[in-house]
Amino acid sequence: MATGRGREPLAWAAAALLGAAALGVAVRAAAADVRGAERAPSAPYATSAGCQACHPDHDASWRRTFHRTMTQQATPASVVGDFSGREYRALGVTSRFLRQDDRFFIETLDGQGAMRRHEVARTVGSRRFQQYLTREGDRYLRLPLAWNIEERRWLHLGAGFLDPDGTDFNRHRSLWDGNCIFCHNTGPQPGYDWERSRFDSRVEELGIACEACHGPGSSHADRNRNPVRRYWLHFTGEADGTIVTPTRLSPARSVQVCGHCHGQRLPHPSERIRQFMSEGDPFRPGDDLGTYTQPLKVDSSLPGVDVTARFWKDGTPRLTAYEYQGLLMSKDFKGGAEGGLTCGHCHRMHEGDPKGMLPPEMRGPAACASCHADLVARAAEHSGHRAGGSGTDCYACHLPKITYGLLGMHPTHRIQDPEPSRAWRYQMPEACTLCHTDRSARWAAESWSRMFKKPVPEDLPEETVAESLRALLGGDVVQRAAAAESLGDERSYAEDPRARLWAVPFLAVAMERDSYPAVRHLAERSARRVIARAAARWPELEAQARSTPDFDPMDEPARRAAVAGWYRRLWEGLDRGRLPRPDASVPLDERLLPVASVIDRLGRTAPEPAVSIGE
Amino acid sequence: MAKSAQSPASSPPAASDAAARLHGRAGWTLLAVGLAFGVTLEALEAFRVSWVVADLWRNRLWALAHFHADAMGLLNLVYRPWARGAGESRALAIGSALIPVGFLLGGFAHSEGDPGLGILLVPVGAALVISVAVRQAIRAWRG
Repeated sequence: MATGRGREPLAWAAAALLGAAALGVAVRAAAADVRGAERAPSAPYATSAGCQACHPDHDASWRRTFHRTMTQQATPASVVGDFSGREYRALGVTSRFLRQDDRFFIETLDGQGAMRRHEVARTVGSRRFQQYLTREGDRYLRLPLAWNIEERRWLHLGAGFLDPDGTDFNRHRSLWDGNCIFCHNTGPQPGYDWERSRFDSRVEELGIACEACHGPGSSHADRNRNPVRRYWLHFTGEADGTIVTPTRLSPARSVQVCGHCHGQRLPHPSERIRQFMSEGDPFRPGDDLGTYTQPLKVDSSLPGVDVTARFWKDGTPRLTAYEYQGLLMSKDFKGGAEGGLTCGHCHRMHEGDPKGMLPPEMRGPAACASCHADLVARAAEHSGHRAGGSGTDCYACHLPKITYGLLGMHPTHRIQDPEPSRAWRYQMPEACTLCHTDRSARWAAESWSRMFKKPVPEDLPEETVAESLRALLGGDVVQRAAAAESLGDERSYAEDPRARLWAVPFLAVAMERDSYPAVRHLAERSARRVIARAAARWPELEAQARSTPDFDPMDEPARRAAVAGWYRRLWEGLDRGRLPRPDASVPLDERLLPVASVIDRLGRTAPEPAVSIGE
Repeated sequence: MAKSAQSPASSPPAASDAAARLHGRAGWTLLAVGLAFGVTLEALEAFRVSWVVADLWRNRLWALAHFHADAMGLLNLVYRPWARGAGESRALAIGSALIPVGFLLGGFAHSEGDPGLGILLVPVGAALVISVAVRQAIRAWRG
């Protein structure tokens, strides 16, 4: 018979055996649970606080993003605008921005046109503009004044969107509960009562949090309280069906996760709007987006809205928030087939620069190398441009900046080969002349035909003026915006940055005469950039570069003219004989001064009537 | 070998030489290693070595390894007069080592939300140490 001491090792062995058996059973159960787990789109939301415990790194990387701060309660920590009693005058209305302790107020016109003090309840945006919401009765209203974060100044939203002069001050005073709520928050529910015409909106989390892309996560969080299940997932790398990982979805479903916000859409069928307004957006990541909505396209019908103004004439979106549509139109998307391009090929939600959500290497040719390594390797030969220059940057030719949004032009997401004839066939900016700003569309077409051994288009335009100037002075509003931006874009610079100073007097014309504040803003910004870059090589410009006058694109015409005059005089005062002379397509006389008759002629071709191109 | 005598809890019996030697070695070694590791951790923090500082799990688990090595070292030293039999002494010595080693290994190759698999040594070590503590407690109550 075993003694007490003799039994001890046996007891330990039995305990070890029992422990191992229990662990084995737990592992088997966890494996079975993982394999049988299904997505639970109707599960409650866990919120980011519920995700943080197991995903601290993802939580930390998400906290760096502008997604997180898209919508916030108005607090001293979240409000970035100048509320120190500052006044701002736009469209004949002087508004004031005030702070009392931890509360923020905007004195401006109310919906009835009377001056009133509005308390700021929430903020929207944190990257370029910060917009402000006030509470009125059952709803939140977006006020038409915003803080321009990058330029640290107030602006009227009519200058941020493409509104012509004379637009009503309150055009952008708009309902939040039935519009912005959907894409700027997680789990939005407007709670609209159709009988009583009242909102009772709520969101699972303000801003764009984990579950906006991964779907409701409470079921996932509950099941993964089991550590054995977590270790099983970690060591096997198996997908957990209780949560959506966009990169594990098929290309078509993966891009829909982003596309449900980065692609303006319409409820489908249209009667579904009632469900959207009362219960919220039924789409959950992993669903087929087409079940609930259809992307807004050039041929879509939206009562009371001319949607064609949002697209170039070839159907390419020309506003931001249509990136999804652009991708769907791209050859590289391959119709959503396996191996097709997805958002995740270039963008990263948890790494890289929060601006654009791009790792540094994805801002250059490396973005294309994973699929087109051979072309990237021989980019100079492929593009016909000097190696290392902006002409060999894939973005410049295949994703040119032809999309307007929030006072900037952004790369199109319709990836296609450059084709100069688009400039006159579809009246749209085209890659070649966005960089070669001193050349005509005709020159671009002839050069392109020569370089790539293509037939010269039969319908070559007669116009010989540089396309950037033709568009700046005679294009429609988005063409003008693209031209104004391109004239100051670094890509358009020759090796000698002084070589683009000729753009200054033409940009001054746009600053003074253009009927859209947004275009005037872009023109002034480009003029400043051109001068600043040239000053780096030409010391006599340094003083002017440091003392450019303040320009408010919504200012009275006389004040705008005064600033435009400053830029004109700067050009006239330069020793222009020392500057590289641009191509003859730039209408400058022998003294390198703009030819007024050409400017007037182009100005007469600008399309009328003006259109407002809003959100 | 001197036979251990039953004594009141207030006056612990003399431990066997072998057990005393074992716990002395285990205790001082754990203390020496644990304290040295603690100083190393502090130095890594001081020089902001991101491999440790920026990894919250590693930071936390290694701090636990440092703390438990010290605590288990002290426990072994304090335990010497109460030592009862080679089995219990071995259990305590092995358990005392497994706990900090488990925390240390748990800091390697861990996932975003959980320690590395080495952490499994911690409950095994804890079971050994607790089993000794429970038996000592029972003896203490029995007088």
